[in-house]
Amino acid sequence: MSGIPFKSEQRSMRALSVLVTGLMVALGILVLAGAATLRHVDTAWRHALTDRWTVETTAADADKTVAALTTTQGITGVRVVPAEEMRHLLQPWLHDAGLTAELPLPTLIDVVIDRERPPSAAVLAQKLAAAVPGAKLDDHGSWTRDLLRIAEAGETIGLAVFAAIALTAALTIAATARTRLAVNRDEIELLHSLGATDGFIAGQFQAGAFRATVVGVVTGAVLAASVILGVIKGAPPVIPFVAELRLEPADWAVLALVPVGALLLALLVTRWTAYGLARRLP
Amino acid sequence: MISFDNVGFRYGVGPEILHDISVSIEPGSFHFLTGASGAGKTTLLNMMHLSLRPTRGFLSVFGQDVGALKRRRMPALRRQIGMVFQDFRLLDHMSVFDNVALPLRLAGEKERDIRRDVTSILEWVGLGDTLQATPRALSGGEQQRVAIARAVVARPGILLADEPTGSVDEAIGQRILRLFEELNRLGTAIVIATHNRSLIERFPHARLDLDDGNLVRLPGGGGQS
Repeated sequence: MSGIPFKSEQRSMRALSVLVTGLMVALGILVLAGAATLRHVDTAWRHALTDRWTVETTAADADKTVAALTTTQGITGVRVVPAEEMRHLLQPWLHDAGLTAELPLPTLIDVVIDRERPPSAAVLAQKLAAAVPGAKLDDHGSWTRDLLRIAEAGETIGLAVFAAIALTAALTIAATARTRLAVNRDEIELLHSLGATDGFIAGQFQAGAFRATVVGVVTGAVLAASVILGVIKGAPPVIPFVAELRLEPADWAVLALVPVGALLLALLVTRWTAYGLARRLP
Repeated sequence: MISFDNVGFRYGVGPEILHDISVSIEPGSFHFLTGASGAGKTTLLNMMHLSLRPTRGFLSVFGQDVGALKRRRMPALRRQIGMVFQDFRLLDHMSVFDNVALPLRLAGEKERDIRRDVTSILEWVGLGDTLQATPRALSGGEQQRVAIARAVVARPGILLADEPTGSVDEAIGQRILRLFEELNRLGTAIVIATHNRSLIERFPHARLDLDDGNLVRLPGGGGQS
């Protein structure tokens, strides 16, 4: 069936529609990309820190400590960190090679934990206290838990913001459709009197909104992709604490669904709104 | 085709403006609906066009009980009814061709057939050279004929016309009524609401006269033109 041309909207109205759709899509993609990045940071921290514990002891008790650790289930590796390596690690913090060399250092033992069946930190601490009085177990839990909680909260907030953007977009699209219907009220009443169904009228409005929506969606997607690629390229110096800012192919696939989803959302909301309002007109 | 049986109508909680209307519009018939301004002619036409439902009594259009008719069934029925509105209701942002093509497009006709039928009907009403003009560029009489062309292009079973000669001079009014007679000869039932008694006296068709909300069937005029 051929299209029925409704009264043209003002150019500024159409431009506003494209702008709003584009911004919503760009914001949605950026927020989801941020949430995906936080998830990767969360996972990286979890793997890097939670499967490595550290035991602090004295050089005299090092062998006893290693013996106690190697007989504990759930520990897959034990390594006494050489003093030279410790000094090397401290160098960036103290900025003085002489001071680092003279500094009395404890003996640190790097403990590799079996991720699948990790030992209980509390039980291991008790075992060490009994076998080597003075040895201290650090499972990094006190600060990694807070960091992970922050990362998880950031991810959740990102998803909530994305949902809020989608809701705002839907409400904006519905308001735009209502305005267009109000402008074309006489045309709709005439079409009804000539035998048009409410579904046909809604379909015509949907078709009329299609072009502006596609332009807005594509613009928003290109804008967001440019920002993401720019941030990824400049990530290490820009964002400290995050060694690598990256998105997996699966993340890109999810982000690519945002414009598609936005297009479908816009068309469905336009159709539903137009259908609902057309039903109320004689 | 259309049957009123003791139909009454009131707007909202206002007084009843049509009382005990009982009349039948048969296929191929031609009626003038007369009465003073405000007598209820447009209301009666709107009931025939399914825009209003009776507040009491029984109204049947193409065999369907209008009082119980579901909204989703109305479009198909309305496509069998041609309506010429008093104010034409042409869409100014569309060409004459597109205005007349509307009913055919709503019916899902092919564009090739639409072009043929619209061109033909516009030539029939004497507007074959105004296909691409917009309604604003036409005179009142020409707009009236475009509205008539739109109402009849889909070959409805019945044509309802509300004061079709109200905004044109006597000569054009007669020409329009002649167009309706031609259409009637092709089998379309016609109901024309008008208060122009002097014009319809020249046509021999039956009159339905509304007086104070009551409908009276009167014999037709002399038929001299």
